[in-house]
Amino acid sequence: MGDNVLLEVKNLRTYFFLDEGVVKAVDGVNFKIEKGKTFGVVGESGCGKSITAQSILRILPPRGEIVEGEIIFYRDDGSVDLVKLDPKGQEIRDIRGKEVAMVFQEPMTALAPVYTIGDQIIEAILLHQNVTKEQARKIAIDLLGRVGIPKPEERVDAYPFELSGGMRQRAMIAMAISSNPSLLIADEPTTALDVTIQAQILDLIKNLQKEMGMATMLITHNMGVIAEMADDVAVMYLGKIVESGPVNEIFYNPKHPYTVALLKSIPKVGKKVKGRLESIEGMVPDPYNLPTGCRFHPRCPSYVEGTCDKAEPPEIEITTGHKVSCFLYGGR
Amino acid sequence: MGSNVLLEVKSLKKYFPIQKGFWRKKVGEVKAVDDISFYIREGETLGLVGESGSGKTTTGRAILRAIEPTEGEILFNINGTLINILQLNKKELKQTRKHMQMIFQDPYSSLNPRMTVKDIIGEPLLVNGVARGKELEDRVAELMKAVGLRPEYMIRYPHAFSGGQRQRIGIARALALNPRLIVCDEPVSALDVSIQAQTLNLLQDLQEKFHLTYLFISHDLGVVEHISDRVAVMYTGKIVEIAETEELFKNPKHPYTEALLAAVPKPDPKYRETRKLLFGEVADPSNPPSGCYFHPRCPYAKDICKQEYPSLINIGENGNEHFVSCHFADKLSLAGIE
Ligand SMILES: Nc1ncnc2c1ncn2[C@@H]1O[C@H](COP(=O)(O)OP(=O)(O)OP(=O)(O)O)[C@@H](O)[C@H]1O
Ligand SMILES: Nc1ncnc2c1ncn2[C@@H]1O[C@H](COP(=O)(O)OP(=O)(O)OP(=O)(O)O)[C@@H](O)[C@H]1O
Ligand code: SF4
Ligand SMILES: [Mg+2]
Ligand SMILES: [Mg+2]
Repeated sequence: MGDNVLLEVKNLRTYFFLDEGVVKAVDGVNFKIEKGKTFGVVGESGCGKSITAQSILRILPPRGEIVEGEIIFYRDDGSVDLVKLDPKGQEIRDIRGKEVAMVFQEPMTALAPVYTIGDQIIEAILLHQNVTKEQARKIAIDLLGRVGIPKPEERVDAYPFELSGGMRQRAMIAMAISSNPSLLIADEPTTALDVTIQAQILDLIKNLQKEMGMATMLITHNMGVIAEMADDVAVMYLGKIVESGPVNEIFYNPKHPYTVALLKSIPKVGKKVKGRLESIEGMVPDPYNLPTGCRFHPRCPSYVEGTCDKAEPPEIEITTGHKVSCFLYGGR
Repeated sequence: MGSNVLLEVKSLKKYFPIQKGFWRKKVGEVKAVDDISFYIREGETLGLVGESGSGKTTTGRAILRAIEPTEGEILFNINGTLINILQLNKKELKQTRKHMQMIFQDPYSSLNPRMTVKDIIGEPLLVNGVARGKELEDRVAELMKAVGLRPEYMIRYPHAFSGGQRQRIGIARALALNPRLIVCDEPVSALDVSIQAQTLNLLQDLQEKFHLTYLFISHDLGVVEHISDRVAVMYTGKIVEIAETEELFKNPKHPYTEALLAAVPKPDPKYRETRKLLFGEVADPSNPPSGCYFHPRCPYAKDICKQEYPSLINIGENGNEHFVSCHFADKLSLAGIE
């Protein structure tokens, strides 16, 4: 495998130290992203998806701290542990936006309202590429065309508020890919969009990825988006990856009771369930007061008393690349 | 239309003025809801789908007269008598409103943070003089139990509850006056998937128990398919298709419905790459295209589509209703789900 790995996250723990207590937002997470592949991260609100992404880019909000772990970024000429870099230093700034780019759910928060989208893309290009301002403008127009913005030579001078949500997301993607990144982190890139526009954007990301050979870390809470896009999938629950593996394994051979329940509880178009949906009972626990043992045990239908509530289940590889952390599959 | 119709909406319009400048001169109109008609039978759930800005919320609010419609009729059946909601005076409206309630999308902002759960759920009872004191408390406890909340939590404030629990508080409040119709505006959209299923199940149980009728607004087709008996599809202020749920999903007759069904990412990797993409953007209700509003994005559009708005006609067979607004409704063969 080694050769194809672009990013490897080992035992990452990112905590928030607040007056109310410690929030273990990411608590011992391991995964690998392969070159050119789409790595999907799925899980409910608050499970730590965004904080994982922000840990990689070292853009954590105040009071958030990586307390343990490694984030190894592999390049042709060696590797670097992003955890060891100074979050304000030059090295991470060079990586951010150039080798690793990011798009967010709400492009309005990432695009400055007082500058035209052209200005912002040009600035990103000038930051990482050795070109003149005129050349940068040409590149920007070309990029806007590539992401499907009609009349890019006019739209380059538009302000973000003059564009629709879908167009803004395209502009943001244009900015992100301007430096040919080897990894694109997309945090809920289509959640705020209408379904027909969402389909367009997902298709765009897929095509750009093929064209440019870029890997994508795609964060979403939508299982449909994962099924559509991901090669590999990690399912997160309360700061941990409870199951991960190739997309077909996760959808057709899910092992973790949480993954199984999650897949059953989504009303699927075309598969009308008569009567009640199967639901996961109980609530997502309070982050200051995490359950002992397996964090899913209070809601788990297969919970074994004396085992699941006592120790954390170890990660077990069931078949190549398909890993699950649950006592039902060993480790007792 | 049968005798068991609870609500009938006829030619409903809601136009919002677009104002500009110091004198707030009217420079145009947003045709948020533009001449729509439909009915809901007693005890059934009518799903209302469509993209952002298509007019779903405006429709729901206009029915309750939470906003004043521009034109149309809203007929509500109260024990066999049809009442036109739009002709009621304030006092009559207050009486009738007891029968119609709304549940909102955002369980965070729709509850007053300074009121206890007891006050929130009890308010409609108090305001309408239905109950007070100990009786009020008993009724609130009963409502809380009905939606799966512990009555002990009555004196807590909304912030002490999770999203799913807050949505239950909103539902309990809506149930307080024994309504007949509940307009559910994206009631599960802000909830996590695992909580969504619980809430949908609760809404279904309550419907059965209290014989409720729902207008269920959502942009999530999976959710709408699950809960609805019939579904209406909106596009730019217009209803473009209405049919029984299964019929609409298996056998869509409007090109927009086909596109919408195709665009939903299915939680099953085998559907990858099978999607047909719809180009272009959602139409602007303040400046809709000529003819059929969908024509600039429609893969089947012909000349007539640019010129004439297609009226909503019934093309259902064997006495079944299937209303479609497309010039080629009975000619196109469109793909549904499976
Ligand atoms: N700025 C912050 N200060 C304190 N805690 C935070 C902060 N940001 C996130 N957290 C906490 O960290 C945990 C993980 O949050 P994160 O944003 O990664 O969730 P997520 O999986 O991205 O959820 P969502 O789907 O809602 O975006 C949550 O418990 C959250 O409350
Ligand atoms: N109070 C208002 N004043 C002016 N325009 C309005 C007002 N309320 C709604 N609109 C406009 O009416 C149209 C329909 O809005 P509505 O909220 O009904 O859409 P919706 O289908 O519920 O969308 P969403 O899925 O985003 O909730 C939109 O173009 C909206 O901008
Ligand atoms: S009327 Fe014409 S443009 Fe409108 S949906 Fe039908 S075929 Fe398409
Ligand atoms: Mg997030
Ligand atoms: Mg709405």
